[in-house]
Amino acid sequence: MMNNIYAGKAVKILGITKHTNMERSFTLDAHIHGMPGQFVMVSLSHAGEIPISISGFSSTSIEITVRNVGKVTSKLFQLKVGDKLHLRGPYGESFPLEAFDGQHLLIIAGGTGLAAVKPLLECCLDDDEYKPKKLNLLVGFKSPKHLLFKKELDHWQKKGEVIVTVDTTEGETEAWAGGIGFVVDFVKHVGGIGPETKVVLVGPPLMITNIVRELVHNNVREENIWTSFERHMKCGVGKCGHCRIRDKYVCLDGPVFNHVEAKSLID
Amino acid sequence: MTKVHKLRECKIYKDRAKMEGLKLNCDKAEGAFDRIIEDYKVVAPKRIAGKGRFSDMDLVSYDMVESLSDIVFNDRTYFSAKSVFFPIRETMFNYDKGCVEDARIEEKLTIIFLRACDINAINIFDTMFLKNGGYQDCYYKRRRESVKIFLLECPRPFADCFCASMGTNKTDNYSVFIRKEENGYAIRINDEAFMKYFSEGAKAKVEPHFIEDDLGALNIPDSIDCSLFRNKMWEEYSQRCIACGRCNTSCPTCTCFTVQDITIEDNMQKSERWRIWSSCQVKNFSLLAGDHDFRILKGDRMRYKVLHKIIDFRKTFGFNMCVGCGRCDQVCPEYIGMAKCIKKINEICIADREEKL
Ligand SMILES: Cc1cc2nc3c(=O)[nH]c(=O)nc-3n(C[C@H](O)[C@H](O)[C@H](O)COP(=O)(O)OP(=O)(O)OC[C@H]3O[C@@H](n4cnc5c(N)ncnc54)[C@H](O)[C@@H]3O)c2cc1C
Ligand code: SF4
Ligand code: SF4
Ligand code: FES
Repeated sequence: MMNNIYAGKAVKILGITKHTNMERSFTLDAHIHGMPGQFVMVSLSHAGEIPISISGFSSTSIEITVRNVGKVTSKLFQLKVGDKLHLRGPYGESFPLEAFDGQHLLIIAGGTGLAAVKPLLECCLDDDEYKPKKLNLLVGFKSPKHLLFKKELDHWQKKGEVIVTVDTTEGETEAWAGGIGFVVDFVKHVGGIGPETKVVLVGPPLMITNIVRELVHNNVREENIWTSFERHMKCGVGKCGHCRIRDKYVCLDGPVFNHVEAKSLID
Repeated sequence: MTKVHKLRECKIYKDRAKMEGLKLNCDKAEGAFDRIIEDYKVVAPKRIAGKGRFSDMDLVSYDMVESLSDIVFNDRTYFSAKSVFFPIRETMFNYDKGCVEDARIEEKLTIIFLRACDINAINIFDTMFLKNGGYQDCYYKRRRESVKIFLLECPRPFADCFCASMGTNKTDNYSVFIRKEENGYAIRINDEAFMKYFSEGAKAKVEPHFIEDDLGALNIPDSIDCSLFRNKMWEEYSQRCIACGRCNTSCPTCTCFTVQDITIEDNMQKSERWRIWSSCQVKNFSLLAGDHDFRILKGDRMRYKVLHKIIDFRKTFGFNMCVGCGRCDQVCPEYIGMAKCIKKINEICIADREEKL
């Protein structure tokens, strides 16, 4: 065998959690020592290979959380516990954990974006090495039906300050105790935001643009904001060219970028 | 291990005076060439009658050659030779009942006849496939390692070429240089591995001539201002470009590829993973699931390509990604020109600077 950077390792699916009709988490029998914010390339023969953020680590397994949107993801949704897929990674730059140590950290996520920041949350809440002095989570979903990680959200709520919002409750039968409206409108409800607040922001491009504007309006300095980019990817290792923006490769230099740099990356 | 691996380490002459060159008549040169093709596959510019872009025109294209007389020394090829080490379509993996295997290839040593610009283009390929991100692409590496380079001289600058402006007009990265002369061939050997094929001939001083001046010299701006992204100059390309991608496929330095899984018919157990050239000028290059797209306007795609070639790549690696071969200008059905585009960018940069002063 050649030393092949594109060759994944076959790993077994240990467990599947169904969050919604569209989103599932897969626990994989993989020993990957990654950092929060990094991603793996998940490969299925007959279908293809896609980048997916690592949504959870344990000493013996990793978790990925996938939204069923197309060719590879729909094939992934047909797999059962015990089936195998191919995995390579971890790839990319992680969130700068040391920059959050002893600071006020605000994590803002929209929908499936929560999967990408979940290891960061867990690291800040359960790990002793990097401890923000105050942690806020602001997370938005389309509607109560679209909630991910309900159990974890309850757990985090006990340990930090968490705001969960939904765009709408239309058509819901059960009462909704969280916020209603767009995430951006809840930024002002987060206590203690100031120039030195560190913010991690993951979600659709439009949400990011709007929230950055709101944060800057609340005096947060641009160099204290980090976002995670999503671009078409075919290799994850700086070869296929698809994820390039100017002189940066999202798969190598990202997906996490500081906003000051992110601003200069015009597609 | 195959011959390819054993032959890898060839000594390039350190003491150039030792091997200045020789002259051979046609028969003797063909004799040497016959011995070479026993060991190597040779790919060189060849004339293909009637296949040119316009009626009654020939196409000059890279192809396998069997004799020195097949080689077109004085014309530029329509496409580059990159498919030799980066095939248009290449199998990466074979899947069979859950087992994965790297695709095998025939590892035949190959000689490619290249001009200085195209030799410098290989350096750009090496940079992308063997260096970028610190990862080495094994599919590229195994093909590249079986390639030997023979230098072709440019008799004159071709239309739309600008290698001198790009600093890619010269090279000493070649094994053998061959010039066709009136009654034979002049040869210079830089690589000891090829000495044995040239036992005959008269010693002579043979130096390749390189183009010193372009027909239209260009200035490449050191850096650009972000306002260039919003400049009106890109609108023309949105109108004109038909997103055919020919400028990418003909370019000796375009390396992008996409990956596709193919099920082998009648057998759901077997599939292959292919990689295929892809083009940043063509629709869907950046498409995300859910129909979110970037660079929908063709002018933005042109900007993305051109700035990568002359600014963005250089930021990381210190040299430009365009070697000024002029092929993209020649192949474009809409007469969109790289050189003209660079000229416009430079004029805008100068105007910007003067305004600021
Ligand atoms: C760094 C990174 C992390 C990601 N993390 C997650 C995650 O945790 N959970 C999740 O559900 N999704 C994640 N995505 C998005 C996920 O990669 C796409 O949803 C997926 O590629 C769609 O593949 P498909 O074959 O099902 O869809 P199709 O629409 O059939 O896509 C075809 C091909 O286009 C490319 N492509 C399409 N959309 C994307 C995209 N958004 N990003 C990159 N390539 C794309 C892929 O190569 C894919 O194979 C992430 C993307 C990136 C870049
Ligand atoms: S961009 Fe055009 S001129 Fe430059 S190397 Fe590519 S094909 Fe040649
Ligand atoms: S060859 Fe010309 S028309 Fe075709 S994609 Fe390139 S610039 Fe556009
Ligand atoms: S995903 Fe291929 S270069 Fe980044």
